[in-house]
Amino acid sequence: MDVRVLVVGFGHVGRAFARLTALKGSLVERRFGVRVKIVGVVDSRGAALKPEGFSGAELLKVSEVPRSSVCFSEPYGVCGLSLKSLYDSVQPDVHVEVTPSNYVSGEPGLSNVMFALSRGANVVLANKAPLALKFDDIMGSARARGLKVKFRATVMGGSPLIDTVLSLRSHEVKKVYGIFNATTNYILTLMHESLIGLDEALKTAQAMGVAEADPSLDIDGWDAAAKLVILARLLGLKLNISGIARESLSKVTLRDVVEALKRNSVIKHVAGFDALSGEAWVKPETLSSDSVLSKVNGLLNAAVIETDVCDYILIGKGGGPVETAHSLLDDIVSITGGLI
Amino acid sequence: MSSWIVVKIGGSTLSSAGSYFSHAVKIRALIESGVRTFIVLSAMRGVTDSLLKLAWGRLGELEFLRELHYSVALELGGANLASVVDGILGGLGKLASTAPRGPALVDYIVSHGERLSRIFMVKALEAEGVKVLNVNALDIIAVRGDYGDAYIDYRVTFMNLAKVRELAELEKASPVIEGFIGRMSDGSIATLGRGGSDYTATAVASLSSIDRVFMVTDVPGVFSCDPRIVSGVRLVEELSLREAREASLYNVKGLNPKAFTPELLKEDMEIRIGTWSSKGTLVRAGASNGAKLVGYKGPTIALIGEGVQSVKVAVRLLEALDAGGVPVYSLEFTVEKPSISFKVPENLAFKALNIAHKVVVDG
Repeated sequence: MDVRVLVVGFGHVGRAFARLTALKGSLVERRFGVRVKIVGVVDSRGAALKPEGFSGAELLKVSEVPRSSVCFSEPYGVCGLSLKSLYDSVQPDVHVEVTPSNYVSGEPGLSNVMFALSRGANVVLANKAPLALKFDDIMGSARARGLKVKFRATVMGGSPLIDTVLSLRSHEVKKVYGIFNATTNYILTLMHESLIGLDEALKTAQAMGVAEADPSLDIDGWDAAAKLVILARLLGLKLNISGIARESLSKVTLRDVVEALKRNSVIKHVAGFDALSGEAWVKPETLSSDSVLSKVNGLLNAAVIETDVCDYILIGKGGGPVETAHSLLDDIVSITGGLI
Repeated sequence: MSSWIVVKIGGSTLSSAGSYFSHAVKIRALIESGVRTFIVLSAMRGVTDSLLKLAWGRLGELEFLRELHYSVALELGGANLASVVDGILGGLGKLASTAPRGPALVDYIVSHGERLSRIFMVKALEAEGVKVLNVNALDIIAVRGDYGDAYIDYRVTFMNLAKVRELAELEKASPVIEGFIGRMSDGSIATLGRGGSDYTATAVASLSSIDRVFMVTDVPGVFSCDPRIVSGVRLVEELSLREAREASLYNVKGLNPKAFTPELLKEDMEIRIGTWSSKGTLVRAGASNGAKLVGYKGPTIALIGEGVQSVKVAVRLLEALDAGGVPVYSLEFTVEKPSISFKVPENLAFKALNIAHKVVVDG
């Protein structure tokens, strides 16, 4: 079965996805009978399109072109096309949305996703903003058209948290909390292990490509809050991003860290919601060093799901490009049903 | 023999756009002769050292790096590629001047020598009409251990390489990958230490069941001793895998210990070291016996060759050293290793090397 995929957004994650498809396409086809054909990749200035699907070598090549330059890649580059023209040209079955998250307007991801659904394409997202802001609209639109929307890459992108939550069909979830932002966890780990201030830890994180040049979405808790909204919506809770109490990590000082360590504790940027009270938060918390979350360091994430049956803990990778790309590919296979 | 060969292009041979084109022409000829190539790239000559200095705050290195890479980029890929290279180097300069220094950052910066070199080689090969698989080492080479001296995770890398080989077979393309670098499990970049590209090359070969490796250098092969110290050195035509391994432990140029770790060296492997035009030194199982070369590690000197680990050779060596007025502090040989090693006073090490080398030359 051939699946025609359009990748919208071609930064680290989009490129990792293209390279992954090149290298693991055959494996996926053998195991699940699904032949993933990337028919177009789109960045902010244009696209590279090949209606019959790029070969593996072509995907590896296009993944190496400079940022915002796919439209100059020969012979498939096209500059300045509208999404409508792109759809007319390549007619994708699956739209992969990996543009940057914008928690004010949701754009460009939100319009892209709604357009994709209007054109009959299933949608796979790594961009959280459209779901965090318009979850019901997106799902409603998909349902009305018999289409699927998958977004495993949006929360703990390198680990199957979304799938785990969705599988708890008969459980009553009481509370979900954890460490959902790899950047702030990396920064806090550096602060505790190297006893450095937040500014210095942030600079190191930026140097290592872990933090963005503008880290405010992570530091101020927007990213973790968006993830909470998505998790809550999966459980049928009407949580809005504006209703989440956010405390920025920026107020945590080296002195706070030292004081916590003296008390055999650590500081973590914890996000969670209580399904019963509707309360939701993202805030720095001082945790005893024998708690599970206190041991989750670096780029790892963790989720604790408390239910009426028992509690579940998932510790795993957050959203590095390679891990996120795997979640995107898994979602595509899942949409198409696969053989298993 | 499989029809595949790993070709590792040494940094000493990469200094200009012309040098990339020159290699591309040779590789194309190899492919046209029916051989499939898997190409491993080093950084251009002098670049790794320069990037290391940059990483440790010597911002003046940027000038050298810019001058070298910009001109190559311009010739290979025009203004677009030159601008990309300029942006990359500018970013590294910014990092080196503002980010807190640490081993991970140093490796991140240093890794760009090989990354740029891959971009250039791909351009040159494409210009020659060679179909390439532009393979990012960070997707394939999984590493563990310490920054600056990481080692390859063979299990994960084996699985990744299988996919590259499959795609290369399917698309009849030549994979091109950077040597020297890999990806840690946390996603960060780590380098493999000196000679890391050789290590990548033998690992790629071994893990991909490719039994031939050609390490292209600027010298015709491995010499019987360091020509800066000993006159009358000669080219070693053949080494056994064990001899190469042993020699790599004694600083013999062209042989790096990690590249010759026993778990990588399969019995049917052949590794040629030399220039495109020279016969080079062939490392393979079943090479002839006898003293072949002399290496050194400080004041410890080793006479290397299958069969030298005998009382007869030890006596001859000791007599020669005694006649030359070189006292020997200790001498060691075991049946397991194809060498005799001995320790001399530091100030007489060069003299001892010359004497030991004469034993090699005289057979």
